[in-house]
Amino acid sequence: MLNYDIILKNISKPGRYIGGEIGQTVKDKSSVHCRWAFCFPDCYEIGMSNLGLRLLYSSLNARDDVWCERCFAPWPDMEQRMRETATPLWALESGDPLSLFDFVAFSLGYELSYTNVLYMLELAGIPLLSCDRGEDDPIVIGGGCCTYNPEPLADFFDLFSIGEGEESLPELSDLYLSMKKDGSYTKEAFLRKASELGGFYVPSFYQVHYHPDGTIAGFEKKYDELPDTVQKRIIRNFDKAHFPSKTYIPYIDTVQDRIMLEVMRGCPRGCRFCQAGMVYRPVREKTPELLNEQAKCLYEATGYEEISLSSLSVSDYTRLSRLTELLLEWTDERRVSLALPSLRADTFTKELMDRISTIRTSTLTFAPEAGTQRLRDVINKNVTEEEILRACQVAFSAGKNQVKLYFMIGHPTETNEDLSGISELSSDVVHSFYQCPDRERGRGGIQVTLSVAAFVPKPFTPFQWEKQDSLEETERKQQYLRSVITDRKVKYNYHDAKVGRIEAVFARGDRKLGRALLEARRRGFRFDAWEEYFSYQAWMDVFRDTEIDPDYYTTRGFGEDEILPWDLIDCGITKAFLKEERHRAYAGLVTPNCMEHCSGCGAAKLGGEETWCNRTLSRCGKTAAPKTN
Amino acid sequence: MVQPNTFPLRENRCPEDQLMDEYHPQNETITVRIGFAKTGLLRFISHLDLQKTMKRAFLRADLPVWFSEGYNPHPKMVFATPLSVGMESLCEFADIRLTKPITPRMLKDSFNRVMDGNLTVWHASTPVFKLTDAYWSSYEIVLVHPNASPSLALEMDSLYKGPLPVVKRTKSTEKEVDISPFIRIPSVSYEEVGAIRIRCQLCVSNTDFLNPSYLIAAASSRFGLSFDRADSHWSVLRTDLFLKDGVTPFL
Ligand code: SF4
Repeated sequence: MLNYDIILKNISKPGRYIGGEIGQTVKDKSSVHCRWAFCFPDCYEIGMSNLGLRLLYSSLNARDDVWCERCFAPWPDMEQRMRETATPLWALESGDPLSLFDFVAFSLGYELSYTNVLYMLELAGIPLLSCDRGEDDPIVIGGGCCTYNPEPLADFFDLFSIGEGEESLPELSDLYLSMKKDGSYTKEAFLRKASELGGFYVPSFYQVHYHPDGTIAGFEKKYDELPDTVQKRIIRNFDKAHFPSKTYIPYIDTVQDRIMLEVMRGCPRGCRFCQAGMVYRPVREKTPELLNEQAKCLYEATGYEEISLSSLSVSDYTRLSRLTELLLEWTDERRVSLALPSLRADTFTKELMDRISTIRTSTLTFAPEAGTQRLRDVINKNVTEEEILRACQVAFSAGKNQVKLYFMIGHPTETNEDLSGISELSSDVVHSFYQCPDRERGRGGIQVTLSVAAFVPKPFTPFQWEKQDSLEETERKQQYLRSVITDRKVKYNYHDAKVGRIEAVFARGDRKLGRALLEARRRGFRFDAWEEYFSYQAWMDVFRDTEIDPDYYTTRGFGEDEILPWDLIDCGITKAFLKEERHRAYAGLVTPNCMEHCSGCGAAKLGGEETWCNRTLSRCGKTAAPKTN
Repeated sequence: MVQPNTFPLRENRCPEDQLMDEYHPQNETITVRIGFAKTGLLRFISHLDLQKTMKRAFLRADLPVWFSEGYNPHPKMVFATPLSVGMESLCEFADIRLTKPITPRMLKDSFNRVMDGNLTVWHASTPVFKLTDAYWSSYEIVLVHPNASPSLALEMDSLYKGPLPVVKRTKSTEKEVDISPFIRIPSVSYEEVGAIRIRCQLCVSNTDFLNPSYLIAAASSRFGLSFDRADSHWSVLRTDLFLKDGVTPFL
């Protein structure tokens, strides 16, 4: 039993470690035969905000004989206390150490959290390498968008869940329970059967062979019946997807402390740098009536004061106005506000602004991503300067005076002219504010804030083969941009280029990186996603000492006919489509979004109802019936 | 740990089923005073988190909470006394405004149904005294330390009964003050297996609020008891709240 008076004494934010939230699931251990510890490799405030974790927690707990608990990365002050008191990492609900669980699952959302995965395993006293774990150790499983290239983590995980887990993880629990029951369970036998379920990748069953230059020569399967590639799982009918009718309500402040109403999955746009936009295809929507019921149900279970409509591009949800209408029927009188996390300038209207309370605040956010129309065409960000300025006009007329613009530098084909375009576009926004007759007067005029990230070429995007700019080049571009921004109303923020470089190494990495991660753990790395704990130099030292050349994964670029580390994974989209998209990018050709035209990316073979594939294809007289690759 | 049903034994002055309906003259709201306990793991959440938790519980319970006007409407809650993170209390009071009259029983039942026993409303009534009339709070402080002994308990007893100069820090200043005027009827006893129990009343008035941590700090510096060690800890439980006479229960 944990003694909270001792373990939490003088610990910052003790509320992170107590669990016990209203809405958590507690079960009687004696009636449970399969226990999951769902780990989020970051602190409580971040992990508790994760929608995927909420969904999977609830879908696993829907079964009486399965119990899923939560675990987050302890902050370093707690790490020290745990080591002093020899307290192994525990799950919040039961307080039991992770090593007692059947499954230890990690949600892998960003590469810089990999060091925290090993940090948590070590604090739990679980052997880091899958080959060192025995029959009695927990099965370590990973899921989330990083598992589209799970290779850098291959040595540490027993298996990966590829794609959406709401159906597959309960199936995996079923398999586990039945094999335990009939006595056929061994870890190896279980993992073999799991690979037959679909959507599960067991890295130890595939051996990777390399050419002398380090590129991949091929993959060798351990058993004949294993699939050549592991196809991701999707929820075909999104209306019938498991819905958590209750959810844990944190006591302490978290990043997303509100109802998150997932209106659709996937994004129909097809920006060429965006991994999420590719790997979550096909787009599936929920019906507004169902969403309204679900929102009400969550409100009654939580008392939350805000509902955030969530998805990659909410304003593309086809029945947004019907949905907001239904919601406003009851939210206004209960003082519940509506929020939209992402807005597109081309679909931004006065009507929308009036309905969404967070848009009523003074800041408005858009993501043009590139400074010139030429480059926006290259990246397929189909939004024009006119649309951005028009959207700003709407906002300025309604009294807003703060605009936040997201850009990325380092896109393929980028020149200084494109960088200057960022500055010009921002100045045009400033200018259009002073042109607006109904603008807010006083309060210091307009403020345009630029947030400029560095491009990381991600797997399963048309840009997956691209070179990443060198550190020097990115820093040069950042300085250049600083020099061309002269407007005093424009505030320029940019991300650390060094972080983007490490992120790229792991996003595009292969199994050789496992030894770097292991060494990083030995040297105590953790919380690399946090500026105060990230050290570029320390990473370079690790790479040097483990004979990893970061340039190989970043500035080298990958050949189009090279075997890629993630070729074992099938996210639905074909390589042919990605290649064609890449070539179209270089030709400056835009590709219409899925709502206008189907460009045959391959995702339709995954099936799905209420998808754009069905609608668009049937318009062209075709069907999205499963087709082979 | 404290059992959630051991609330302060108070004579029940307020009929459970009579509507609380004293209208606030200006804005037609009703102010209701609730007495509640914050126990168990909830001792680790801060005052701000507590406010948010209460607000959401009121909404889940569908109680007729009044919202302030303006851009960010929120229920209005005023608390009688602050409580540090890590300390439990059986006896907290807060005033909250409602839009229509309800009975104490309705309020308590609806609220407690949507909470889990670590935050429990055990009293509701129209306010009897002013919130600022709360003056003494009674505490049980338990120190667990390997050096605890009957003789140490005796020494601590006399420490708390005499003048007790401590360094009090505010945001800007540090000064030595004698805190003994803010301690009432202290008594220290040895509890067995390395535990010492301190019972006392401490001042909770706005001007002279004395945090129980001063008593712990005074003992640890006088007797060299470190609570940073893994085998030692303290716990604090606020048990009741009184007026300036130290006897009349606050309501
Ligand atoms: S198959 Fe066509 S409509 Fe469906 S996601 Fe791919 S491009 Fe879009």
